[in-house]
Parts: sequence; C-alpha cells; structure tokens
Amino acid sequence: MFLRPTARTLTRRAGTAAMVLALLAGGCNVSRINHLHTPANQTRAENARDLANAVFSDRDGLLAKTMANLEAEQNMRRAVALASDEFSDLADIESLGAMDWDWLREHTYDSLGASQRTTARADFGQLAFIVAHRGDYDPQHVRDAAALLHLGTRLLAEYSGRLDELDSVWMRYISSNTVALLQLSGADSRVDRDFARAAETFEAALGEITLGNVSRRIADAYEQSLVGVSGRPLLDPDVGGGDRARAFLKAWAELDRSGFDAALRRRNDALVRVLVLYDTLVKGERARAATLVAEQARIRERAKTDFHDQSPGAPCDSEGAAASTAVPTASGGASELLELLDTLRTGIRNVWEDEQMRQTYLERASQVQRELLAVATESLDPASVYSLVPLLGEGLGDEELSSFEGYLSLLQAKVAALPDENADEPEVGEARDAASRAVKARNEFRAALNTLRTTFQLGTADSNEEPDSIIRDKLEMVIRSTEALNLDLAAADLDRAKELAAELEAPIRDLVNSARSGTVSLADARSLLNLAIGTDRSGRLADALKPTDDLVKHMRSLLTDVSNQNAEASARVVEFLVGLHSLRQNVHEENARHYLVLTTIAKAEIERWLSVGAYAEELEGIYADAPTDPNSLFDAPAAPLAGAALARPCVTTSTPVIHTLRLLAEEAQTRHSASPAADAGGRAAAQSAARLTNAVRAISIQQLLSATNRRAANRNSIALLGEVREHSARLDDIGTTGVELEIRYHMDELVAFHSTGLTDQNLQNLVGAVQQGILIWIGSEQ
Amino acid sequence: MRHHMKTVALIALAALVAGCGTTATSRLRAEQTRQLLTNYMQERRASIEQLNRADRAVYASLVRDHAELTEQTLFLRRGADAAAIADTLLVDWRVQGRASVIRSMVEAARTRQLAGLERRDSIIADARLQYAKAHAALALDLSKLQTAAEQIGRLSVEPRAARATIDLLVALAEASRSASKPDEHVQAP
Repeated sequence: MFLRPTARTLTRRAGTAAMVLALLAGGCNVSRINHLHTPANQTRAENARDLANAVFSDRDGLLAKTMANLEAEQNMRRAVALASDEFSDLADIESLGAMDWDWLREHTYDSLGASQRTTARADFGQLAFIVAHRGDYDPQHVRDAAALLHLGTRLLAEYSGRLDELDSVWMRYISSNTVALLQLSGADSRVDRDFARAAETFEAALGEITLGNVSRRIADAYEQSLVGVSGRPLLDPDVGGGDRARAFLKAWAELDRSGFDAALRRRNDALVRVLVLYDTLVKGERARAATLVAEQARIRERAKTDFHDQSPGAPCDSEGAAASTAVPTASGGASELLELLDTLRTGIRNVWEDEQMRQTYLERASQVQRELLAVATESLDPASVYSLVPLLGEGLGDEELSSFEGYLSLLQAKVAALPDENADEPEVGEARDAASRAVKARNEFRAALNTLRTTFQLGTADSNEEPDSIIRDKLEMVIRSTEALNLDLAAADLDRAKELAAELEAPIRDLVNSARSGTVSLADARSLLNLAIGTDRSGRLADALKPTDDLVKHMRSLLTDVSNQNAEASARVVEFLVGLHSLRQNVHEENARHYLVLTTIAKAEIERWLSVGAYAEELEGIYADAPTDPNSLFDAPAAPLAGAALARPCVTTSTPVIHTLRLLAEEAQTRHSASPAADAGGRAAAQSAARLTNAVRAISIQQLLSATNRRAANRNSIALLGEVREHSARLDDIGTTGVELEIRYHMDELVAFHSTGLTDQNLQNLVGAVQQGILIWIGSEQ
Repeated sequence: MRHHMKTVALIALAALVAGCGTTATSRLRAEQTRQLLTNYMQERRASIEQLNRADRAVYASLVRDHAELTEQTLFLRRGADAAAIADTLLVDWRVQGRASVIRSMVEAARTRQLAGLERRDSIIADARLQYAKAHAALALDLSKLQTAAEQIGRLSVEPRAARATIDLLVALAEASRSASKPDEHVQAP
C-alpha cells in the first residue's frame, strides 16, 4: 500500500515493479495453459474491475472540490482577518489614552517582536547623569544598577564598534582576570538578552565591573571616538546640559535603532537564505521531474527492444532481463546529487519536530504560528513549511531565529560537502531529448546548489555561533534513520523478487522460448503436460506420449497464445511502471510548485519588513531629531527663541501621549492666537505648530507601522495556511492515484488471467492426444 | 479387465488435466487485490471523514472568532462614542448639556452603533453565505468497491468441490496403477 505519496515510496514501488517487469520480461506468463477458463470467474473479475474503475473515476473529482472548499475557507479567513485588523486598530488607538511616549515606543517594537531592543528613557537619563559625572554617583539614587550596567555596556560596545573589543576596554581597569573578561565579551557577542544577568554575576565575582567603571569608560570612549551633536566633546566643561542631554538622546535613539536594525538584518538574512534554499529545491525538484520523464522514455524504449523485438530463441533469462530493465533511477552522479534533496527536506522537518525545540519555540510562538505549526504537522509534507513558520508573525524574536539559524548552519555543512561535478550517463535513442532536458535541469540544480553554498557562507560570516547540539544530534539521527530505511527497502525488494521468482519454473520458461522459436519438441510436449497435470502426477505416463501433427499444431497454437499474452502482460507492467514514474514526476512537479508559492510568501515577507523598516526609520527620525532641551520632545531643531517665546511646554518621553497633544495644542493655539507683532518672523507660531505636527506624526506613523505589520502578517499567514493545505491535498491526491494505479494493475492482471485458460475445446484435443498415448502405453503393457 | 483399466485411466486423465479455474498464484493475487481494495476503502473513508471534520471545525472556529471580534470591536466603539459625547459636554456643557441635545447625541450614537451592528451582521452573513455556496462536504460512494472486493474475494478461494473430486480421482488413478504393478514386474526385462 502507498502509505505516503512521497517520492521515496513511489521509488520503492517502481523498484518492485521493475523486478516484476524483469522477471516477466523473459515471457513467463502461462495463464493460458495453467488453469481452466471459467466464464463465471471472468465475469467476476471484469465486474470488479469496472466497479473499482467507476469509484476511481468519481474520486478524481474530489480534488477540485477540495480546492473549492479551501478557497471558501480562505475567503472566510480573510473576512475574519479584516474584523481582527479593525479591532486591533481600534484597540491601538484606544490604548493611546493610557500610554506615555516610552510606552508607546516600546509597544510598537513589541508588536514587531523586538521589545527587548528598546531602552527605557528613564534608565538612559540616569546613565547619562552618571557618565556625565564620570562614574561618581550615589547608589541610593540608582533604581536598577544591573539594567544601567547592561545599558552602559551596550552603549560602550556601540562606541567601541565591536563587542569583541570589550576585553581590551576592560583591561584598562581590570588586569587580573583576563579569562573572565574574555568570557564576558564572548557571551555578549552572541545575543545580549542575558547580558544584564551575566554582568551582575561578573560584577559580583570580580568586584571591579561596576557601574562606575563602565560609566567612566563610556566617558573616555565618548571623548575619544565620538563628538556630540554640537561638535563638542560630551564632557567638555563648556558644553551645556542641553547639548549633553541632546547628545545622549541621539545616542539612545541610535542604540535602539541599531538593535532593531540588527534584528531586521538578521531576519532578512534568514529570509534571503530561505529564498535561496527554496530556489535550490525548486530546481532540484524540476531536475528530478525531468529525470523521471527521461526514465519513462527509456523504459518505453527498452520495452520495445527487450519485449517485442526479442529475437526468436533468445533465452528466457530472468537475470539478464533484470539487468536490461534495471530499476530506473537517476544515473550515478545525478542520483547522488538528487539525493541531497531528501537530506534538505528531511533535515528541515526533523530539526523542527524535535520535541524539546518545539516546546521552546511554542512558548514564544504567536497564535498564528501555533496554528501554522499544527496544520503543517498534520500535512503530508511539513518540511518546507517549518522553514517559513518561524519567520512569520512577529518574526524578530531571538528564539525562533536562533533555532532557524542553527539549522541553516547545519545545512551549510551539508551543502559544503557536495561534489562539484558529476558525470551523467550518455543517453541514446528516443529518450535522448528527454535525457538532454534532464541533464540541463540537473546542471541548473548544481548551479543553484553552488549559489546556496555561497549564500550560506556569506550568511554565517558575521556569526561565530556553533550549531546547537540538539540540532546537530537530531540531524545525525535523521541521517542514520534514512540509511536504515534504505536497507529496509532493499530487503523488501529482495523478498518480493524471490516470491516472484518462485512462481516461475524452468520448464515454463523453456515452453515460452519454444513458442517464440516456432518449434515444438517432444520435450515441450512433456513440459506442457507437466505443467497441466503436475510433474509429480505425470510420471511415466508422459514418456509414452508421441507428438502427432494435430497435437503439435494445437500446442503451437496454445504456445502462440502464451507468447501473445506475455507481450500483453509486459505491456501492462511497462505501463504500470511508467505510471509510477509519472506519479513520482507529479510529486516533484507539485513540490516545485509548492516551493514557488513559498518563495512568493517569503518575498512578501521581505517586502513587509522593508516597509516596516522604512516606517521605523521615519519614527526614529522624529525621536532622534532631539531638541536642545530634553524636556522639549518633538521640538524641531531651530534657533533658540528669545524672551517670552522661550517658554515652552515641558514634554518628555515619559509624558502621557494625550496630555502631550493637549499641551502642544494649547501652545500652538496660544501662539497662533497671539498678535503676530509679538512673534518675530512668526517663528514661535511655526515652531509650536511644527512640534504639534511632529507629535501627531509620531502617533500616525506608529499606528500605520503596527497596522501594516499586522495586515501583512495576517495576509502571509493565511496564504501559508492555505498553501499548506493545498499542498497536502494535492500530495494526497497523487498518493491515492498511486494506490489506484496499483489496484488497477492487479485488477487488469486478474481479468487477463480469468479471460484465458484452457477451454473445453483445448481439453478435448489434449485429452484425445493423451488418450492416444495412454492407449499405446496400455497396449504396450499387455 | 483391459476395458476397465482404460476407463479408469481416461477418467483420471480428464480429472487431472481439468484441474480448476484458479491457481495458487492467481488466488494469492486475488487475495492481495482484495486486501488492497479493502485498505483503499478504509483509507478513503477515513480521509474524507477527517477532511470534512476539519472543515467543520475550522468553520466553527472562524465564525466564533468573528463573533468575538465583532463584539469586542463594538465594545470599543461604544466606549469611543461615550467619550465623544463626554468631550462634547466638557467643551460646552452649558449648551451641549441640555436634555434635548444629550438625547440627540445619544440617539446618534445608538444609530451609529446599530448601523455598525448591521454592517457587521451583513459582512459575516455574506461571508457565511459565500462559504455555504462555495463549500460542499466531500463524499464518495464506496459501496461499489465493497461489491468489487467481494467478487475478487471469490476468486481467491480454492473451490472445495473441485479439490475433493480431483483428490478422489487421483486416488482412483493411483489404485489403478497399483493394480497393474504385478504385470509390470513380469514384463520388466
């Protein structure tokens, strides 16, 4: 039975069928003479075949119906997604009433899955104060030393350019514990999510990595490597508090943006590698499909020479026949090359089916991702979907990306181990064109593999991460189980071959060869008798049989029938074999279609994040254009106002959003209501309006960013859900067609068997002839 | 005696040659085919039931989600309407606070909310209608396969009557040959 419509299963079937074909190729079908023809049995076999075919025909229509149902479900999902978007949009607006700007900003990044990248303004303000005093601070006034230490180290790393240089920075202060410091910098070079805890630990252990030391180092680094926005060093005694705060605000914005941008780059890098992976898989599947088309042509061509044009008297050698109709597989190099496809697909699936990894991932996955995983797991081909699920939804979290990147690293090793060149067997005859296309497709696959290899090397150049041991172990297990499966398949084919071979005895093969040669000897007559009544029963009875002209003529007719049936049986096997290869071809073509759809979704994901990144950049621009006074959030840089115009509303990032708008609106209204004569050049009115506009813009962009992200995530998730189910339905259809093909073959064989057999006339002739022999025998006994 | 032996030999020969309408191999293949048909029926039945069940579950889940989202959205809109009325009163309570104006504002809000409800109902009703039009439960009449399996099943069973007859006639033939054995000894060179 076909358990799963995978190429491997179909290959197994093809292998078995090829054995059948090989054994029958010698012309060993003897149903014409090894049983009685019974009209009732023939009717039963034909009725059963017709009934089965009627059901199979009805089943053909189910795929179209399933696709229609799927489309209806997709439409329903889109309607629900619209309702969901509307609700979320409203909820976002509603929540503005309770938020300050820090919260709003954090909420925005949280909706992108990057909340851990943002820094609370209050923490930054405290750090700025401590840095400005070169590490001199009162611990009583520090709210969260670990958070500040974490923030300070990140900032220091930004100034230093690379986290790896941290150790040299630290060495200025702590020379006695280099190893620990190297560990510290090494830990931080991975992901800084655990840095605060690590920093606390080291601070306790070393007693030297203190907030004060970090702050002093920041001050040094800032002086040495950066200049403030105003162009003057941060700690220049002449620099006013406004410039200092402004410089820190800018640094703060850049710090968070760099974190967000890094996450975005990391994610898009993963997406690009996924795209290259899909492209490779598409080309691999196409190469396999083209190879199978060539194999079908080859089978038909060889069937002509091996079965129909066989020269008279050729030996019925099952071994030789098996060699001439060897199990159709890709030729040496191509086979090795194409086997990689299974490694890639199986690898993706098994890594993500690891229970521990799944649990870890599910804890962080969104509702949509959970649903996707559930649907993918129940589908027939979850491998490809697993590679995309982590990248949907919020998508910027560390866990899913870490897991996915770990897998990609493993894949890199596999790809790197691929052979560069493979020789393809030359093709001949009518199959040449198909073979030529197959070779071309395989060459494209090779080129894609090289691209994949290059991409992976580029993709991991920035990372020194070792693949997680869980992933590595899992992949090893996959490889081992695959090898074991191959052994099982070989054993299964061997058993089947033995079973079939046992049905065919030497006398039968001799008979068929005689029929081909057009001569019937006494030995043939004995063999026929043996076959008809059994060797153990014929005994010496056959020895007395003398071939008469009538008997020879009748036997020749029978054997000609046998030969014709052999040709028909061979044709049925060839068509069955070709049908199986056609189904395998369908599987690979469906896989190629599937990967193309996934490619489209992955591309849509990249476009989504490009939009989100652009909005985020615009949003951060508003924050980064910091005023000279930290209490003047959203104020555009401009020449300072003088006199009465200098009084501006105090707005910071911790001011509630709605309150901010009211304050700024009041100011704008006041300045616009005032006499223009009191506002030189209208600057105060313009600045107040611009400030209000900036605040509204910040809200607007934030809302647009969240809404865009949400809609794109919903759209792509629905597309992926639909594709998972469609792919599964199509594979199920191909697999079911495979089962039907197998049943059809067996039914046709049964019908062929019961349509033949010895008729009454045959029996009368045989009985007459043998009676004559017996009479001679009996007479000789007298 | 000679006539008797000839008769026995001919009967035995006819019986031996005749055999039956099936062979061990054909019966084995019929049984395998019957099993294939049976498995196919079971798998298709289970698959169709599973697909229909999954469709029903997804549909029910989507309708439930839609209803909840609609309810929550309307809740937010009611809150927004209330806040808008409150703001209006706040800005100008002397004028807007008159009973008739408040009634008008509340009525307008209620009208908006009802319109929202109707729009929501319309959208979901339309979605459900479209789903009902486009969706059809999967069905496949497998009873014919049951009949086919039964027919094939008969081809997989060795006919008992023929077997018994053959065994009897073989025994007769053997008895006949045994009866002629003393003569063979005499004739043997």
